[in-house]
Amino acid sequence: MKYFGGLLVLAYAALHSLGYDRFPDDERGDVPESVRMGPGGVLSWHDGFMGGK
Amino acid sequence: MRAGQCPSCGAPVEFLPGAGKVKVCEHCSTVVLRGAANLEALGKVAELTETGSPLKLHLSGRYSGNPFTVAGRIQKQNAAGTWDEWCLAFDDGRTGWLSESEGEWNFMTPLEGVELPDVARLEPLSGFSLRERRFVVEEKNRATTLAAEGQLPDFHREHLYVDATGPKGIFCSLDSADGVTEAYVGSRVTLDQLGFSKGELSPRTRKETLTGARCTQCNGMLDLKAPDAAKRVACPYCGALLEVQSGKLAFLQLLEKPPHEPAVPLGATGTLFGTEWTVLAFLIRSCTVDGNRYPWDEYLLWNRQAGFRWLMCSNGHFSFLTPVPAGEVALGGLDARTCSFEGTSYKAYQTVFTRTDFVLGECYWSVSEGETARATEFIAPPKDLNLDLTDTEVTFTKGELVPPEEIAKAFRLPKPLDPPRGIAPSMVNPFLEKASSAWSWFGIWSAALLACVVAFAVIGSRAELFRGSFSVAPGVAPSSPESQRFSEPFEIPKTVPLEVEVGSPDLDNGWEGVSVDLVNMGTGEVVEVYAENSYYHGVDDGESWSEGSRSDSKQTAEVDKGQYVLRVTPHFDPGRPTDYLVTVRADDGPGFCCPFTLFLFLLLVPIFYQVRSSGFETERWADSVFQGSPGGFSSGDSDDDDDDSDDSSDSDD
Repeated sequence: MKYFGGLLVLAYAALHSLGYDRFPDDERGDVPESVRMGPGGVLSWHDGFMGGK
Repeated sequence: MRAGQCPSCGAPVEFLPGAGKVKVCEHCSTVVLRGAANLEALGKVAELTETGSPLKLHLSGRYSGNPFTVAGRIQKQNAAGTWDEWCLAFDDGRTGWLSESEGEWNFMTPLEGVELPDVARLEPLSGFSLRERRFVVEEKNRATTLAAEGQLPDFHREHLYVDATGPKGIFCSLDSADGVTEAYVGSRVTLDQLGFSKGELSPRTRKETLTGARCTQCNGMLDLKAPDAAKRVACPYCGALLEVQSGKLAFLQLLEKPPHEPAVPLGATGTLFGTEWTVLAFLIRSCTVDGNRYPWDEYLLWNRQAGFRWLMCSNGHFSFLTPVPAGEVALGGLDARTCSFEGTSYKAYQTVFTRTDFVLGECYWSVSEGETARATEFIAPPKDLNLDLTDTEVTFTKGELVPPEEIAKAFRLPKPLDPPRGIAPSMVNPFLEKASSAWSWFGIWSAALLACVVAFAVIGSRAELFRGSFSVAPGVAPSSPESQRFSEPFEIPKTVPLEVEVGSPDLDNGWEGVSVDLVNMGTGEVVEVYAENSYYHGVDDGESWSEGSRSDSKQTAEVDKGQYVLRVTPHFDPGRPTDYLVTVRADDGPGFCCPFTLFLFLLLVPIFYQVRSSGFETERWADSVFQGSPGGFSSGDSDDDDDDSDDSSDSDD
């Protein structure tokens, strides 16, 4: 327990520093290149992702 | 009258000053009482039995600076054997008594001017006080005076006596004869302390002949190791129980042979706790509980200087037992479930009625097959304290577990002893210390974890990066491109996890979900989350209720710094859209799930050891039993009498 507990606390500090200490709800992707380069840019993007729905 | 003639034989009898009013005639063994005017004969005594005592009449010594002379000797006997008591006449007129018990010398002086308890009402283990000192009765018995010599303060053919011990090594003897009780108080001494000249002490020769003695029944060589102390010998060849009488062996009865050989052979010598011990006797004792017989082995160990000890073996667990004075044990009565000794509190583990089933070897008491006792074991792992009670005697022994390997090594046994089975009552719970340590470290590391959480909360950012309200145009279909909205661009100044909160303040008995897409204007990366609010309320049977929430928040992993726009897409029941509010915040605080999960992991270790510890104790106490009568069964709650005082029981007080 002496070392196990210390290891856990160190692991937590490390995970937090690396940003791995959470359980995120997000999904990731990219706006199609054609949309980005097109007229209106990303503001003309109406398809593709829809918030996981 | 200082001198006169023996009323029986006419031989001259001279009384020394201060040494008592009774003298045994050296010529005819008549006990002569010095009266005011004449000498009176109190009858004759038998010839002295040769006990091998190193003392003799007229020896001079000194105790605490006071010189004395050995003035007289009486030889007493009870069912257990014969012993000497020596009368010491001090030069200042006082009298003292010196007696030998199991190789140790006790010096006592009369205690006068105190109210004495009624000896007839005292029993072994009962207590009484003399001059604010507490004594516990160890033995109550009747003694007969067989023989005497020299000059004595008084003389009784038969008397009732009580031997009791008190704290700090003091003891007391109450002698009651002819309706008169006298008290003697003293302590253990050595002959060196009494200032005897070693050259004047007689060598112990009494039972040297017994060293080569043979069994009277089978003529087998007995090879006695402690002939001076032996009172009974059980022949290892034929099982004959022999009594030691006046340096000779007399057949008593034929004993049944033990069902197994002693694991440590008779006569073996071994060093335990820094002293070399010789195995004198092997006994098998047992108790019967609920119809089942539970036997165990006992070995009587002996060392000339240290005296007697016991080695008990039960289920392969060896326990080294050392006698302790009853007066030093604070016991709240015979049925008390706690006691204390040397500052340690002990808990009663079991009370059983024991029976001596088999005997081999030589014993210092008048052992017999079938002798019974009431035995109570108190435990305070790794120690135990044992109380053995008979009709006439109580003995306490403190025990200490010794690993079988150590026994085998000490006595140089040719093959290893059987490994112990189960849990010994006084065995240390190996998980208790681990559980205690684990709980301590759990506290330390939980505090460290909490400190980390607080530190991360303090240094972490919760800055609001975007806040915007969105509305849905009437008639727009849910989830359609027409319902989508884009925010104004906003800046995320550093790479950081985000919290996205969606609020629907006007939601009423409905639901609304919002897909939130964070679009990095520079890289085109999309980070999307979906938050859904549902809120219902009403009144049922006159009671209002509500469920759900008008807001929901989601977390993201780290999001790169840069310029972002939000694309939001609402989802709702057709025809029931509401305005909604989206807030984006930095969220690089400690969070909740991760530290809480680690906290649970920390908790696992002490809980594991705690469960194992409890299991160990459950198994230990499963065999605890408290018998009310021989062969009976009563499983007791060991907490029944936890309020026992630390005083000895005594109905006579």
